[in-house]
Amino acid sequence: MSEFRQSDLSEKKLNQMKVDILKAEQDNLKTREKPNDEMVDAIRKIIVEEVRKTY
Amino acid sequence: MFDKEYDILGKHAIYVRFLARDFKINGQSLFERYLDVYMTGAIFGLLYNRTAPRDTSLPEEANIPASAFNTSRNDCIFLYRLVMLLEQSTNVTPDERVDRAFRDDADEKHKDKLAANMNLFHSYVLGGIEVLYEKYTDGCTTPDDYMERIFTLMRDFQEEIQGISYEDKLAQLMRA
Amino acid sequence: MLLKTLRMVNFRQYKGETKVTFACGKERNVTIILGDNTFGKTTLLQAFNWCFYKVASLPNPEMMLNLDLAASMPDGTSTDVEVEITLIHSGTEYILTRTQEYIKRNGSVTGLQPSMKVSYREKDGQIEPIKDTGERIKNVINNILPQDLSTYFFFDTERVGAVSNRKDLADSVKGLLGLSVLDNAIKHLGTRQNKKSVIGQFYGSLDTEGDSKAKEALERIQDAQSRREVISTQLDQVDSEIKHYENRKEQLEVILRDNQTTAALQKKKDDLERRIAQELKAQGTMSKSYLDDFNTGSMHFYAQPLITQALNFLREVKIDDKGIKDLTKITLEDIIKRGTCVCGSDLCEGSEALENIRAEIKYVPPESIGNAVRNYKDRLTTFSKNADKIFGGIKTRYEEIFRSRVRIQEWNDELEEISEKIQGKDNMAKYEHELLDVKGRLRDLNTKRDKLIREDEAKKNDIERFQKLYDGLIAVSGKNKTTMTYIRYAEEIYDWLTETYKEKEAFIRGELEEQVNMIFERMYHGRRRVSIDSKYQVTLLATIADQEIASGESEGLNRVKNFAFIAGLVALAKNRIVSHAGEEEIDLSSEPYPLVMDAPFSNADETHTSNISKVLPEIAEQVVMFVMKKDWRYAEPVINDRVGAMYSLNKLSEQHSVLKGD
Repeated sequence: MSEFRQSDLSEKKLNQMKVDILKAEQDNLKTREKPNDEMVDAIRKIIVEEVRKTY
Repeated sequence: MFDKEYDILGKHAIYVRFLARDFKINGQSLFERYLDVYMTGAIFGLLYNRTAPRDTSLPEEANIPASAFNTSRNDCIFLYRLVMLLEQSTNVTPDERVDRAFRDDADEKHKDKLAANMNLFHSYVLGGIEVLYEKYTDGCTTPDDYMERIFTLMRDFQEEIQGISYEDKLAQLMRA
Repeated sequence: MLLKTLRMVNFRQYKGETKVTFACGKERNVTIILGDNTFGKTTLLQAFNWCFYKVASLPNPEMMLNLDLAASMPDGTSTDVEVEITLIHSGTEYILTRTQEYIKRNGSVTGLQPSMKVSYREKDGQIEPIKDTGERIKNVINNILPQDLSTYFFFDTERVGAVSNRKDLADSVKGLLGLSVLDNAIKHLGTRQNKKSVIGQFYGSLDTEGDSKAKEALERIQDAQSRREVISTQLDQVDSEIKHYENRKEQLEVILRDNQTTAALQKKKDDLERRIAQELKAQGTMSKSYLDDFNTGSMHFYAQPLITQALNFLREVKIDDKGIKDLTKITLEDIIKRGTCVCGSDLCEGSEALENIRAEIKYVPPESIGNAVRNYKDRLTTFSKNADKIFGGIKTRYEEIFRSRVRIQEWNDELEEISEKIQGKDNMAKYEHELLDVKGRLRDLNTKRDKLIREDEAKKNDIERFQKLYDGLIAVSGKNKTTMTYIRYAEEIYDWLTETYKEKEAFIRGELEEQVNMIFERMYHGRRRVSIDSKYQVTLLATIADQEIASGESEGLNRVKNFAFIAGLVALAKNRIVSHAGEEEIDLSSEPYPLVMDAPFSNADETHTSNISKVLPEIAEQVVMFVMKKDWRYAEPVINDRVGAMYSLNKLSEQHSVLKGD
């Protein structure tokens, strides 16, 4: 893992991702709508979107 | 003589059957054949000076076939002469005794003598059978008792004829 | 979750409409329902279950309709059974209504499939139904109150004992205490080896530019990982089996050790029995020989004195001894009659042979008995010649038999002694057999275990190997650079989540333990402490001589422990656990829960009763208590100022109960 670690990760993006992911998990706990693979997809999308975001 | 069968009757039949057929230890009876009881009876009759008449009061029978006598004829004749020599129920002179023991059975002219002798002989046989029965069975219950009795009778007999010191024996008995 | 109201229509004994409004106040949060057993308390409790989950632990659950109505309703008509609960959860008011229609046909009443309606009240007061996709409603309800945990909140005295034994409690508790969110996030993010996770998928999407080796390497990594997970499960199973058999082995060894002497005695007994049997057999042979000897010899033996007498007698008598042995007059006359001599000579009248034979008659019995007597004397001497030997033989045999009998007697005595000793104790053979079996199984299991461990090691090595290979092979092309970024963010978040989780979990468990102990101390005064392990199993520890050991529990103590646990759980759930994450505060807390208890006092004694009554309302957000009239007098003085609603339950008949408010 260490080979790929560089210090150009945005702190803001990181936190935003954490918030979004946990929110998604919380919601799903309530509604139990999404099974595991759907959740995996959702989280992946969160990360990809946030990285791509320009603000 | 001893060329035909002999029937034992009444109580003697019961005794003989018990000793030679009905009572068994491990599948074996005390005496092998009725004839064995008969012959030993002759001896015991002499030893204990006991005679007995035929018992017709009971409808019992024990039959010794002629074939049985065939195999032991010599022994029977021997015992007959022994009884004739030693019996004490009649009052005869020694010469008469000898004649009775050795001549009468060959005397064609006086077959009645042999008949009378045989009666005498059988009275000792029957008497002896009574003694046998008493001595071998009185007080015995378990097979072990009977086995022991056989031995103790022989042992005591041997002691007696060999001459034991009664003093010692009595002292021994009193100590126990 | 806060209970607001309960409305029942024709549910079991509750004919007609029955409505309960629960005390929800901050100060007065206790609702009391007074009534004795069989009045309908259990049914009330089960009404919750039926409404929430469609299950009810009641006899004859196909018949929820009031029996009076079922009997009296006309044929061809239908009647509804309904239970409706309104509650507040996560700030939203929900209305849960379960309805079941019962139809009477040809005199018999059957219930149709129950239907369920869940609505929630919007901020503007509007009531919005939740679209029923079956699963959706179930999920919503389960989120409000998970079914697995429902028994802890709808408190069933019987199930109290099960609290500390539930293995899957850990998951449920985690859920209750707000750890599920973190737990799930961690699971979903996953690791690169897990191809079903976010990170695993990112790795999977790395463009290998047709580099099949790299792709293959990744596949191998992920396959090995899956295999490792399977092995892990199998190892757990094998370990638990091994533990089970180890326990059994120990048990058996203790039994056998204690009964070592019995085993030895048993063997001795068998030995003796064998020897006795052998000896008896030998004895049989001995008796036969004995009797045989007796048979053949007794006559000769007993004749001894007679022989002596006879010999003595015959010595006295003078007898000539001419003549031929056993030749008698009768025999000779028979020969004469025959006409031919034994040697063949003709015995006609006047022949010399005839004259000789006639002369011989003089010397044979009955004319002359000399020979006969002489022969008899010979016979006499041989007849009892072996008497001593005969007697000696019989004596020896008898002594043999006697000794044999003594031996057997001794052995029998010993046998009896041993049998007495063994009596009452088990035959060890079956335990020894089982021990062999258990040892065999343990060997097999350990072999299996070793095999699994070796395979796991191998897989681990594979993963390492292929990981290195992969890392080396992956080309950092433009496409991959982005993906690598994703991966880095994801892994960073993963690390943060796992750390936070660890902290929180340990903290929460510690808090739970503390909470439970605090409550426990208030209910029970004694030197004991509650301990909660990583699987959320609850044990009581007693301090004995400065050492804490798991102590045995009486039933009463067990109940208090379980009360304390539930109460602690509830208390903790009330507290909010906040985690700071950047700008926003994330509320990982969970809901407060009410306690609906069915006769919690009937098995506790008076002191505990009042203690429990005092403590619980302080812990739970809301308490609904079913109390027997006789128990109320212990609870009332301590709890009265917390009571916000009181109902009494009355039984009018077997089929009809009534709930009336004060």
